[in-house]
Parts: sequence; C-alpha cells; structure tokens
Amino acid sequence: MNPKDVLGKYGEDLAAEYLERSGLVIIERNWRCELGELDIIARENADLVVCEVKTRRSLRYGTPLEAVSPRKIRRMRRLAIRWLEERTIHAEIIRFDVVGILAPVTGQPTIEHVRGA
Amino acid sequence: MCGVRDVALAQVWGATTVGVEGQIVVVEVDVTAGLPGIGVVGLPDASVQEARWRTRSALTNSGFDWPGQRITVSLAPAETRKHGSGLDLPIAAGILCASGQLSQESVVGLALCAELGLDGSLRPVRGVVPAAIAAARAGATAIAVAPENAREASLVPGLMVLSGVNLASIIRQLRMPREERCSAEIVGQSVLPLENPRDLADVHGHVMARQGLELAAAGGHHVLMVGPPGIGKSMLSERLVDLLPDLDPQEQLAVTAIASVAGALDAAGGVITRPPFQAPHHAASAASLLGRVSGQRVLPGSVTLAHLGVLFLDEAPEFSRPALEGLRQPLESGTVRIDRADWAGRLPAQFQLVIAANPCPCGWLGTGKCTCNSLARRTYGAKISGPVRDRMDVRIRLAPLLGNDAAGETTAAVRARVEAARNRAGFRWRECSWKVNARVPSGTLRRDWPPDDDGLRLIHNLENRTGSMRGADRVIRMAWTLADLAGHVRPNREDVAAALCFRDDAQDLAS
Repeated sequence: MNPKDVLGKYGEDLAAEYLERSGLVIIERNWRCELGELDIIARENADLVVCEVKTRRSLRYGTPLEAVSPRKIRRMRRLAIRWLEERTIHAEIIRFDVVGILAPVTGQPTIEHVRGA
Repeated sequence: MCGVRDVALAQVWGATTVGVEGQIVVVEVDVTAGLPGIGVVGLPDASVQEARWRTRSALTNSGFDWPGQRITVSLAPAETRKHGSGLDLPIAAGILCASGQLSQESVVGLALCAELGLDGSLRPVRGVVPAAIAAARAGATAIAVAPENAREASLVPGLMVLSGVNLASIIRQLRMPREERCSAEIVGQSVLPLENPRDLADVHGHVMARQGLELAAAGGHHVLMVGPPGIGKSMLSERLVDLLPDLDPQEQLAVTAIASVAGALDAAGGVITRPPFQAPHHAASAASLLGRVSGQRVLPGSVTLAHLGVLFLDEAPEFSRPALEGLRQPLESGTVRIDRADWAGRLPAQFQLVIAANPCPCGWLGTGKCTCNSLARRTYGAKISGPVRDRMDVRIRLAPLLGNDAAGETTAAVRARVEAARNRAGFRWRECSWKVNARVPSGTLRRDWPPDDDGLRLIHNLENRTGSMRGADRVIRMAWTLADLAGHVRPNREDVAAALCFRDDAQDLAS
C-alpha cells in the first residue's frame, strides 16, 4: 500500500471506531463496484447511514470536510442506490454523513462528523 | 474552528443601486451544520456571485476565521436583481456576525457598501451617493465605504461615514463602542475651477443672441439657434450653462447622485454645485442619448446626465431621427423611460435644451452664397420635427458679423441679472410645482398671469394674425422672464414686443 492509502485506511478505522462510540451500528465497510467505493455503511436507529471519510495531514489544502464536493456527494447517492439494489435492503430514510479527520504527523487527530451532508 | 461562537443567524444592511436610485438590501447570513460551502440566493447577478470568492479570501487574509460550515446568504427583497461588487462588504460583515466574530449589535443602523480585494482591501464602487441616500431614508445612521468613496457618502446629511483601507480596520472600528467611532477624514474640497475658461466676454457682437441667452437662462427656456457655420453658435451655447444660478442643496444631491452612478465623480471631487452641461456628438445613438442598460447596470444617457442643467445639440439636424424624436418624452415629462428585459424604469431628465443648426446643408442660406436646392433645404429643416421645435421658446437667428463688433459683458455681470430675475420668478411661483417661467402651464398662464392690457393687445394681434395659441403662450412666458429681468411687476407692452423678437416665424429651419 502506498502512503496515501495507508493514511486513508487509518482514517477510516478511526472513523468507524468514532461512529460506533456514537451509537451507530456498522453494516459494511469499503464496499466497491465499478462506479467507485463507499467507505462506511451503518445504521443509526431506523436510518441507513452512508458515510464518506476524508483524512488530511494538514490544513494546507483546506479542511478535510471542504474536500468533499457536491459532485462527490452526488456520486455517493448513485453508489448508495447501487448498494441497496445489490443487498436488497429496504430503508425508510437514507442519510449521507461525512467524517473529516485531521491527522497531523505529531499530536492527536481531530474528528468532525457532519450528519446529513 | 477556534473563537467561533455558535450564533448562526445575522442580518446586515447593504446599500446598492437600481437605476439611478439607491436601494437597501438586507443581507441575511445563516451558518449551519453541514459541509463547508457558501450559497447566495436572492437574484444575485454574476458580480454578486463572485462575492463568495472575494469575501472568503478577504476574510482569511485579514486574520478572520472562515466558518467551516454551510453558509447561506440571502439578499432581500428577493424579487429584485442585485448587482455590483458593493455587496462584498455587507456579506463579509454578515458572515462575521453569523459566526460570532462580530456582534450583531455593532452593525445596527449601519449600511455597508464596498468591494473587497483578495487581500482584504476596500475598493470603491459606483453609485455611493444614491446608495447613501437610500440608507439615510431607511433610517441608517452610519455608512461604511471605501476611502475613495468617503467624500461622496459624506454629501448625504445625517449619515456618519466610516471608512478604512481594509476590512480589518473597518471591523476594528465596528467593535468599538459607538461613541468612540470616528468619521472618516474627508480629503479634497468641493471647489469650482478658479477661473472659468469660458466667458461671455469672449464672444464679440451678437447682441441679440446674448440677450436671447440671458432670457433663456433667466426663464429656463429652451433655445434654438440658427446661423451659418463658424459664426459662434457653439461658443454662445456653451456659455449658457455658466449663466445659470448654482443648484440648491436638493438639486446638488440629485445631480451628484447621477454622476456617482455614471462613475463620473472622482475621489476628491465633492458635491456638484453647478448645473451640468452635456454636449453629445451628433453621431451619438439614441441609446447613448437617452440611456441604456448593460447587464444589470443602468447607464444614464446624455439627457439624464444633463438633468437640471443644459443639453446642447450642436448640428442638431445631423442627429439620427430616433435620437431626436426620443427627446420628446423627456421634454414633455422631465423623465426618460427605459424599457429593457433586465431593467425598466424612469430616469430623471429635466434639462434645458439648446439646439444649434445651420439653416441649410451648406450653411449659407440667406447670405446669397447658398448652393442647396429647395428640396435639400426642406428635408434638412424637417429633421427637427414639430413637437420638438414647438418647445423651443427662444429662437435666435445669427447674422454674419460686420468685423468691428465689440466684446460684450462678462458672464458674471449677466449672471447677476439672471439670478435676480430667477429670484423674482421663484417668489412668484413659490407655491407651484415649477420654478421657472418656461414651465408655467398654458391654462394658468392665461387665466392668472396675463400681461397688462397693452401687452395683451399685442398678444391678441399676434393670435389673429397667426391663429396659433401655443405660439402666443410662448411669447407670454418669455415676456414674463423679460419683465423679471427688467424689474416690472407684470409684463407690459415693451416686454411683449421684445419677446416677439425671439419668436422668429420665418419659413426655414427656425420656423
């Protein structure tokens, strides 16, 4: 794995841990199809939560949350539909969350969780 | 984000322009949980959309925090289009309030109007005068503008002007208690050019024309001047505006507001105290003469730029027909209507018209040197149509000079008489909607303000001869002005006779 992917995996692990502590139940991680990848799929009460994780080393290129563009959110929607078809799962409410992680080389990482992006 | 309290919703006043009028735009900013981003709603045009990028760079480069949340900016009233970069500053201030970096209380009663540079510097915008007028009318007590606009903003009474070179210095002042804020230092003086390069004394001879100009200046009459080329029509016409009295404070503000929208005010130039003078070239299009719309921006035409001053059309028959005919509406109503998809409305256009023309295409009609055929003469004269021609009270025919004509009185001497006459007229019409004799309605003139009996007899003679009531009305109006100039209580036979000299009903162009 190259360093970029190592950081991504590290961030996703942190995010999963954080979400579970927040009371979400993780259903699946790193689901892939030819359209792309969904990082985390979870449940919070009746809601199905599709979650994108973005990790950054520094703020030099903007905050992690800023890196999630409206275009990326639209792609998450398409992927979520694909995932539902494949798993034949029925969900009343589908929510799209973003977790932004700032993980500097030294010091503690900070986590921001945006519900319903 | 550090130092950002959770306030979420803020309201700030921005000031902008619609046409040549100012408008208050209520800028509401909401900062909510969500992915970082900013959206502007409320019919912003492209220049307002770009405010998103300018405010972001300006805020971060000025040491403020850009909220890493969803920012919604709403511009009210939502149904009118907003244009111009002047909304940059209120949007930036709104974001600071909504993110808790500036208290909402500190912007109460304040309107803001300036463009932001990426480094946070404040840049001047057009139309600050009308924007400030609108702010004052809406109840604002202070306005924040770029230093270059401070002088313009200070022309509006009752508004404290806050200014600073950049966003940080403005915000620093806003964080102070109100009583510690101080008005921007106003540099520059509103001064007239010390010596006027145009003086009536430069014009030799033309005694009749001089009197005509004095009459026109005193009564606000439109002027038609006809004569061969090179005889001094333009020279004389240009000097009319210098004979007019200074604008009163209300007029000053109106004229300055128009110049402000047209971008014709420089930073040091203060309030315009003299009537404007506009002399469009005869190749000017109807749009440039009457006003046009470019994008969301209204560009006032010559008729509006000449509001409360003089519009001079040299070589008038050479103007295009749509341009000349377009003058009919402003001449009638004192306003010009502009109807375009992007903007429709009225602009003020109350000017004194001076038309100069050659008597025929070659210019030498009546001197024995004319080479035009009769059809060419007729076609030329007909270019100025009846409705426009009808409004020309003072008609002056210039004859070639004899070669030994002396210089006449100075502008200052004539202007003193004009001002005295205008004061008399102003007192007489003090309870009317018009200020000058040229605008007295026909009915009022006949019923309440006829000349004395001797004078009236001359008028009746004229009517019997020509059958034209309107022509006679023009003579009565001019007679009133001549009476004001001469200090008569009511026009007498002499005044009416003198007025008749300026009626000129010959059959060529001046008819």
